[in-house]
Amino acid sequence: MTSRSRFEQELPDLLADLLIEPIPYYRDSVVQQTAHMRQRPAWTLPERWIPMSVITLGRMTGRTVPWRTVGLLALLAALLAVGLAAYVGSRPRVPAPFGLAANGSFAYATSAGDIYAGDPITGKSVAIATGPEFDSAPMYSPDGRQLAFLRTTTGGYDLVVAAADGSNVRAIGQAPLLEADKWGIQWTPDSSGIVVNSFTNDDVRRYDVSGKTAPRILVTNAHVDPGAFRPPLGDQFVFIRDSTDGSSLFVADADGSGPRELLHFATGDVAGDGLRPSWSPDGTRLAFLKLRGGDANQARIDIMAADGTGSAHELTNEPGLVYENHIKWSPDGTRIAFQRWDNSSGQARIMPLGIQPLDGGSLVDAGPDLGAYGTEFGWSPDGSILWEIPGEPGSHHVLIDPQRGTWKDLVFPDPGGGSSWQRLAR
Amino acid sequence: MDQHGLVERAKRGDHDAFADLVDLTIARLDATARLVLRDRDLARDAVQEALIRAWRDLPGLRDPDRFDAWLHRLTVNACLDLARHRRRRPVEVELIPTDAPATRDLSHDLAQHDLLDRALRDLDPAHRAVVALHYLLGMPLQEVAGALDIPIGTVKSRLHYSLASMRATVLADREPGQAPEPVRGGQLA
Repeated sequence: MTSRSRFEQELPDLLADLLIEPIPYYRDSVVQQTAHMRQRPAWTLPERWIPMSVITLGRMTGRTVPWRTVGLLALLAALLAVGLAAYVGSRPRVPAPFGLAANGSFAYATSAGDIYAGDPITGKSVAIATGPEFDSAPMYSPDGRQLAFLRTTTGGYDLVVAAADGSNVRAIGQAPLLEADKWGIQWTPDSSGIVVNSFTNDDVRRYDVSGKTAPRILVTNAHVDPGAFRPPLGDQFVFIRDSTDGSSLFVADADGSGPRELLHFATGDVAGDGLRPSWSPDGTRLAFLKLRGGDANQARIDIMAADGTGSAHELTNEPGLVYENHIKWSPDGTRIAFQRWDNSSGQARIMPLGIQPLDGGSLVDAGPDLGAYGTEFGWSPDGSILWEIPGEPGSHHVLIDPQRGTWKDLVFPDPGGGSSWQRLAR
Repeated sequence: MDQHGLVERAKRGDHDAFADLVDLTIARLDATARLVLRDRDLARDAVQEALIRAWRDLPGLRDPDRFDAWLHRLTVNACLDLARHRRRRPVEVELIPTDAPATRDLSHDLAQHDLLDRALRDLDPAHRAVVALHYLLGMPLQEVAGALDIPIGTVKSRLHYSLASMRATVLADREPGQAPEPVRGGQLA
């Protein structure tokens, strides 16, 4: 029996040992309170078979068209459009939300809980958020103008947004995010909102970074993975919904309306890390994780057409019991970088990152050998570099040549809590 | 005591029978609530609320053999409600018992408890709830899903994450010199 399975077998006793105590002191209080309460009659308590969801029906009403009002509004819209065009033309360009962009600053959090913006060429960095608070997980908006990060607070994390230079810092949202909610946090493609999984409530919600509107629930009984919004318009997003017989990929409009199932996976096909769907930068393909032959030790990245037609195919044909994970499309959509473990020996061994060209070229082993902690990695906005920082404490960033897999060190002071590369207009 | 019989009597308004049911269950409910909420006062509030609701709504319970599952559900939902709405507290209370029996190896037990307590602290209430229901109360996965009104797939994924997270904390200390396991990916069996 492995130590891991022994731990699971011992866990009930460990928990009982830790937690079970003699009769709590408030037992008498509970009994006294209930002694003076009447029970509800049985007929007032219907059996719980009524669906919990509330179905609302919209109504169509017949109306005549107010043509004068329509005309005035159209004229006003035209005037606004002219003014807006003049205004927009005077502002610096921003990159499109998906695809290739120019490389900007490299934000990272230190192990001490500060945020810095570094220059990947010179290695110099400037402070963005320093002070007594513990900050982590910096994340540039797609237009490169804002920086979101997490600020540790009592009970969890505040979601904080600032300008890219660190000014105008403000917390958004209402309740602190919990540890599990950190997974899947992402900007909306138009950089106006941040989408968050709420695992406590089992829903996906959108926070308005301007703070003008309250957080809105997009879908329930669902969660998203990073890269959920579909290029090139970002007007749809993919989410995962678990059911009693497995998990399904759904697609909905950006406001959560019109959810429709794309694919269903039986429980035996779903990797322990979930489906992890990820769009290609042009939005025509979807990559996801799937167990090969139902073997929990072999998760492979599959790719299929984004509309669900045709059949999926595996990204690599690497031999052995390999567990692939963390799908990262290159910004030009020609390659996928991913993390992988070799389970052939019966003991999980993390391998260097893999980069697989999508034209059928050879798989590239990229970057250094990693310790047992896994790694954080991503593409530069222009797709020429793959950055990585191993999870082992004391590690520093490396920049990887994705063609050859070679790397060089990028030593920022005391990195340790997340990284993000700013996208700029080309 | 015959729990089935006690439930039948309590359903018909026998408060002494209900008091006996409280004695049979309150220690585990309290443990469950303290696991989920990590706060003794809030745990007390959650268990009190659950038991008050149980007394009040017991006539509606059709199958007395479902009493435990029903009561566990009331308790965990009370905990999650409190977790969502509670005021921020400056200190999270550790769960390590202070009155361990003198006949045991105290230093080893306390070290184990400390590790497990730390491991639980790294989970959020929703994950601790599935750990409590499945590992502390011994509920099968299907019942856990029903108690929390979530799909069984969600239960499985939360348990997988919770177990991996706790294992990484606890086993890393048990086996010095052996690299801790990654929380995501890797070997699942």
